[in-house]
Amino acid sequence: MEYTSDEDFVREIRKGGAALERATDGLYRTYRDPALTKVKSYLRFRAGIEDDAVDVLQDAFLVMVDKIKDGGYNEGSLLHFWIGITRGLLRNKLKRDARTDLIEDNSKYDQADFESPEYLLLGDEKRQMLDRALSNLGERCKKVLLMWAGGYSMEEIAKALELSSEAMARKTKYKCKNQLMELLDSTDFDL
Amino acid sequence: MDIQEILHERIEAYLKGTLDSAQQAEFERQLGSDDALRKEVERHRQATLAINYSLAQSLKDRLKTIEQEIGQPAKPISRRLPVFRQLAIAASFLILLAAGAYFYTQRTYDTGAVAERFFATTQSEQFRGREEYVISLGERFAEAERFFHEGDYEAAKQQYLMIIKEDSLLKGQAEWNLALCYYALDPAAPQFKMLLERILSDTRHDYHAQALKLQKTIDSVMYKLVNR
Repeated sequence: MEYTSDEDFVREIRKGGAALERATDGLYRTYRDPALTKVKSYLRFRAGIEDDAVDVLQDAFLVMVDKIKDGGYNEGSLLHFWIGITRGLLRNKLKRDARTDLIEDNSKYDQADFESPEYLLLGDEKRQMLDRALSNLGERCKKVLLMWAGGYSMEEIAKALELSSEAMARKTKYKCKNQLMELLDSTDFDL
Repeated sequence: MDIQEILHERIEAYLKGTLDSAQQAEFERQLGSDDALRKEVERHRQATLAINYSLAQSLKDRLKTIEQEIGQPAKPISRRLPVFRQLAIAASFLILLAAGAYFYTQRTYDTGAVAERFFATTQSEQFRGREEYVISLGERFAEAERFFHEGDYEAAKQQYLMIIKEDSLLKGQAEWNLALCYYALDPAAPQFKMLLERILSDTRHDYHAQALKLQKTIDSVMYKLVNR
């Protein structure tokens, strides 16, 4: 699939599943350099924060993909949208670190209404707890749930896991999710 | 699909926001009166968070792989250095600048450097049509120049004195270079001062303009600082 416009990326991401994975890879490769260059220019250079630039850019990418999937993006340049989200994340990060040295300008990049998603706000302890629960879940169950959350159809899940039917895939996903909830119950995971 | 599975999917649809308005209102009415349902919804919410977290990790792993493939680690951002380091760098820079200026002025205003800079090199064109001079005078000029550039100003001086004595061809140039030989040997030498004065006072002398420049250089503050 060749992506010739932002609309192509958006359409493919919204399809979910394998199309989403291909489109996200393509989108990242397409805009990574200009986005990173722009994001760096926002930073007054202080030790520490610059090392996080790529990391924050990637977090922002995840948020952008979520927004595209969930209808939180309507139109406009995806590059600017990505930069705007990154800037929002950086601002949040600097606020948390009591740094206010972002260069302030009311640029077009500020269009992104920004709120960090829950999974980015998890503290280290909760991340470790989730990692433990997910590792106890087993690879097969984890794969089913990730495919399901990633927008793969039950038919695709059945095929990938060599299950006999969509109904079996649905049943497997149901069981795996129950298993995950039980694991989380046992770890006192609570937000 | 058993009743638990149906409830399971209904809760997921509620959390995803895909129930229609009537279904959502009904579900929320049940939530208001059913503690067990509320607890179940919360369990689903947390499981969804865990799955989204894992999904995000998975995508991030892919992005890291792409970063490695691209093979261009993010260009390091220039960082603002602590003030004391900035001052140290500024001081180092100034020291280097001062040292550079010192060596530059030494190289520019040192007596030998001045003499070399003002030295008039003979060109073969100057002997065109005067073949009779090429062998004797031309060779003498060449010899004098060689001595001069080697720093043997005394030997160069002797050559120029002979050139001046023998013929008037290129006498002006020989006088000028002779003056420079005196100068290089001793800037305070009366022979140099006298010869320079003569060239300065003769506006038709071939090297009058050069003499003016040399005088200006000798009178400059930098020259006096270097040669005090």
